[in-house]
Formats: sequence, C-alpha cells, structure tokens
Amino acid sequence: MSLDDNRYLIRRKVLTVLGQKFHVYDGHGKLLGFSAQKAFKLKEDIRFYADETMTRERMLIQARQIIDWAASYDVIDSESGEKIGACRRKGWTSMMRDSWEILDINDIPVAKVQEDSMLMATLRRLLGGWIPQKFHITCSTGIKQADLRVRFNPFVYKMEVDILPEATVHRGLILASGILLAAIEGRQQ
Amino acid sequence: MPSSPVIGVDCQHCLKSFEAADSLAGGITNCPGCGKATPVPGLRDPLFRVMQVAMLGGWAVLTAIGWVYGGALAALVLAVGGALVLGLLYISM
Repeated sequence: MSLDDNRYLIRRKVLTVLGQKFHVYDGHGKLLGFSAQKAFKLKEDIRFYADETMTRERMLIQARQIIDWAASYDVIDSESGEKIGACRRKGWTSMMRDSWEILDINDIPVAKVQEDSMLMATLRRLLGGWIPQKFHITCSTGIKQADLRVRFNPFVYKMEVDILPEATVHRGLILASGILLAAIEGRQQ
Repeated sequence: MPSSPVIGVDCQHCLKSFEAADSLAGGITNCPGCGKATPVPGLRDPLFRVMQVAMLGGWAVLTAIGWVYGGALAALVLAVGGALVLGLLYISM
C-alpha cells in the first residue's frame, strides 16, 4: 500500500445502524480505502479494501485480545502480506487523555499518539463531543510526526491526518493510529 | 538472566517453525523465513476463558431450569436458542 501523500482524510458515517463504515481519502480526495466493520465482533478486525466492492484488501488492523482496555492492534499491509507494526492503547491514561503508542514490528515503541492537552481532554469529557479532538504524534526522540484533527460535524465523523514531510514513522502506522482513534475512541463518545 | 517467554509459531505461508515473543500471542508477526505476516497462536486473554466457561455454564443452567419448570419442550427451546447464541458468539470471535 503506497502512502506518498502528507494529507489524508478519515471519514466515518455516524448514522450507521449496525457496525461502522469508514472511508479513507488521500490529499487529492481520491478514495484510498473502505472498511465496513461488522457489529458484535468481540475481537476487533478492521479490514481496508481498495473500494466499496471490497474485493482487494489493502490493510488489516487486528486486535490481539478481545477486550480493548489496553489492547495491542497489529497492522498488516495486505498487499505485501507483511506486518508493518502495531498500535497499543494506554488504557488507564486514555481515561483522562487519549494516549496510544506506535510500535515497530518487534513491539518496540517508536512514537506516541496523544490528545493535544490535559485541559482540553478534560473539557471534552465534560462537554461530550462538542469540542473536536486533536492529536499529536511524536516519535521517541520527541520530533513531531503528524497532527490529527477531528472536524466538528454531528452527522459525519471526519479526521484530517497531516503527516510532516520529515516524518520517520511508517505512514501506514500513522494512518492506522488515526483509524483506530476514529473506531475505538470514537465509539466510546 | 531469565529469557523472556516465547511461543512456537508455524508460518502459514512457508510452514517454517520459529519462536515469537509471548506478548505477540493472539496477534500477528512476520515470519523470519519468508517475511510474510502470520498469526501467533495462543489467545492468552484470561477473560476469554472465563467468558467461555460462563457462557457454557449459563446455557446448561438455563436448560436445566427450563426442564424443571417448563418441561421437555421448554428445555429444548432454551437448549436450541442457547446453542444458536453461542454459535453466533463463536463466529463473531
């Protein structure tokens, strides 16, 4: 799955009866991936296809455990058939401020994904979904890799992913962390 | 120095056997032989076992209650209904 752009849009339909539907677009508005998640699935399994015909799988995000309290999610590039890394939710920390870790193929943390500030995170938890979320991704040396911004829209969940040109973390993992934020954290709101 | 626990994995693509870290249990890792992603066995989630026992126990208890208070037909309905629910849950996992 080639990810050469620096800007992506993750779109999740809010008014879906069962399960969740995601679209991922590149910076030019071209559809990059589509996912229709089944409802009542205990073990999270997010499969991204090239389009809505769901014939060509591009990316797979799969939970290692059933309960997603502090779960790790393996990220696989379905086109090459290789695992590119994983994303791990920091369960206790995320209660107050959404926090994730991006891991390499050997499970070594290479970056962290964190909600912009503790103050804003607290306000969002008090006021519901009225204040859109923002996240920063920084690598283990502290260099910023990407910004993730949720656009306020009561009908469609939209998250903009802006990857810095000098980012060293695999773009697939940055995009996967955005998808997981939209799928897992978005569901809790 | 004690070594970290490992799990034996058989690659589903090239069938090579190798060892993966215990933390990857239930997940996916790249095979050192062919480089392709392959599942790591062992769903070590303790809650999974508790849920399995609780669901099977609940099914048996409900069927027994149906038998005692409603007779054979109630027990049959609860047994078949419970089997369907358990089947759906199994598929969803």
